Amino acid sequence: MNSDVRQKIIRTFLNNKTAPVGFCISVLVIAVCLSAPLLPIQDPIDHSMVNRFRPPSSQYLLGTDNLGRDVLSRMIWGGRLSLLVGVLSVSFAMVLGTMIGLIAGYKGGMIDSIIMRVIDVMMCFPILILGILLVAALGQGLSSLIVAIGIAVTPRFARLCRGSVVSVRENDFVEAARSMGMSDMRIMFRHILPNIMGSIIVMGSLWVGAVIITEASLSFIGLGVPPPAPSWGRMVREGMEFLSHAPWVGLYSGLAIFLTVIGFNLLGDGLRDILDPKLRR
Amino acid sequence: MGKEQKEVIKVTHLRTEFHLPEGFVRAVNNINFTIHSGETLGLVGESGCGKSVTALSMMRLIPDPPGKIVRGEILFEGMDLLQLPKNRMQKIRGSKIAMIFQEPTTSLNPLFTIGNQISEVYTEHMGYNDKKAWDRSVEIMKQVGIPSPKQRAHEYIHQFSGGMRQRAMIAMALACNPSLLIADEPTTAVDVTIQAQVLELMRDLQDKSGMGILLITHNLGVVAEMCHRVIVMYVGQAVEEADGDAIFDEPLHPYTRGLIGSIPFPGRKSLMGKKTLEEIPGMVPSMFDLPKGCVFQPRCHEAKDICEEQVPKFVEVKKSHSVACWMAHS
Repeated sequence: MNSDVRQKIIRTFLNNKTAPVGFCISVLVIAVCLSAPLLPIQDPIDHSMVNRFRPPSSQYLLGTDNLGRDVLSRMIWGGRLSLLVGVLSVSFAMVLGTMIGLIAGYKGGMIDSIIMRVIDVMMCFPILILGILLVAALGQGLSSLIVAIGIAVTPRFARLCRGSVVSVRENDFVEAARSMGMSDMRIMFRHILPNIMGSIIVMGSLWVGAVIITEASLSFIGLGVPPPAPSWGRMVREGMEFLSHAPWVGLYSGLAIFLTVIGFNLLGDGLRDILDPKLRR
Repeated sequence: MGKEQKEVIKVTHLRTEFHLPEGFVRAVNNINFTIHSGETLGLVGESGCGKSVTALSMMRLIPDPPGKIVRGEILFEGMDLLQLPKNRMQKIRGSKIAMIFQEPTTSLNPLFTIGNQISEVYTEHMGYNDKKAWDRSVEIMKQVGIPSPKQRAHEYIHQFSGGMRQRAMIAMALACNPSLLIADEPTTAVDVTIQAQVLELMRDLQDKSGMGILLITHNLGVVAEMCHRVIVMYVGQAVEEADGDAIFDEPLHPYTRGLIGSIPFPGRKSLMGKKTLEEIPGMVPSMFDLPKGCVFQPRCHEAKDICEEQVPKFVEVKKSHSVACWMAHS
């Protein structure tokens, strides 16, 4: 990539008022949560019946919950979990969905029809319902959760990818590449894929937010990662009961979800501006 | 022509059909021709007459469905291209037979540098490593007349002008020194000065390498400039075939005469003794519903009864000059 292209990208990103904000929030959240083991915070599962429901103080910056666990620490560790699930599930869905979409879109015909009908059926179910079904099937635990949510989100990526492939494959340079004797695989991965990556990446960043909420919802109904592992969803769930007299238990996690999802959404908008060649010119 | 008259490609009885929801179309109906090394054959006709489909059939790039090459033989280097397995045909495309398209802007991938795209031909077909492929790409860019090739190889197509893009496409096509170049309307999308440059470039490269060229165009000026032999097509059929000069000096088919008569050029009045442009009356028939007998007959003012009843045969009426017209046969 030559330097004037690079400069244009940075300029476009900064032109979008909210994208840099989103970028900062996302980076901040990721940095803080990923460095959880290194931060000087309490053990998130160390409970202490003596210190239950302590309001925010110098010792417990965000207070303690119903089992005396430090809310701040649980929030950071919980964020780590949520982000892990968010990023890994979306990556899983992105890779799998892109493969499926590429094949369906490029080959067309019967393969395309069959694949898209299956996708259509899967898309009838809301993500949360699919997530519940898959977790029930795969059992509880972090890896099954990631796979379950990943599978639930895959159809959306497959559909987006397939649509993009169908429009890009009509381009002259695809025919020109074919006339140069390039094989189908090479055309799919080298000529078509880079031209559709933009919209897929944007969708990815937007879905990280949605997946975090899904994980929070699953934890809320008890299907997420089993306790005592902290998770934003579970903390909001548990905090609900004590909202009147100890709001800090659930409130901050709720805020964290809100902020993180907004951060990723704004980042996604910024990415869309950069990656959409028309806006960039 | 200079070089030995080696047959590069020989197409016989080519027939390509399309089965569409609206009906059935015979886009290429019994086309025959031979191209020798160092020779340029022009395929002339209006839009939709089957010229591009002929070229795509030769490269076996017809989408199947809905298209299908139902008949014919394409002899190239002793092989019938229509019988080759897919992977062997893939190896031939881009290396032994190359094609350039009308619109260079959209025929090049906007995401990769020119150098990268030309290198791809070398790495895929000749197995060169990246460095060697890059060096050769710069070399061939120089050969096609792209200035400062070393720097420009790092640029993207949006940084190239129209003429340069056309040259870049030619560079990609000629990278592996093909024996046949198929040029599908290479001058249609560029302006007149660039047209002249592109044609001159093609001629020079042909002189150096002895490759054959199949030049598809609807521009008779280009034909006059470039083509040693010409085939005139109408609704998928060949109506006349002759040497480049003969087709202008002595057009035998009424359609060819009509095409030549509709070329505007200065001094027309004195040269042709006519004041107005002659147009061919009527419209090209829909391929779904061709007239019986001679397909041109509804628009032909020389037509007689026999023209409506029987399809005229494509017959050599003079030396190297064939035509499909009952009136010309007599």
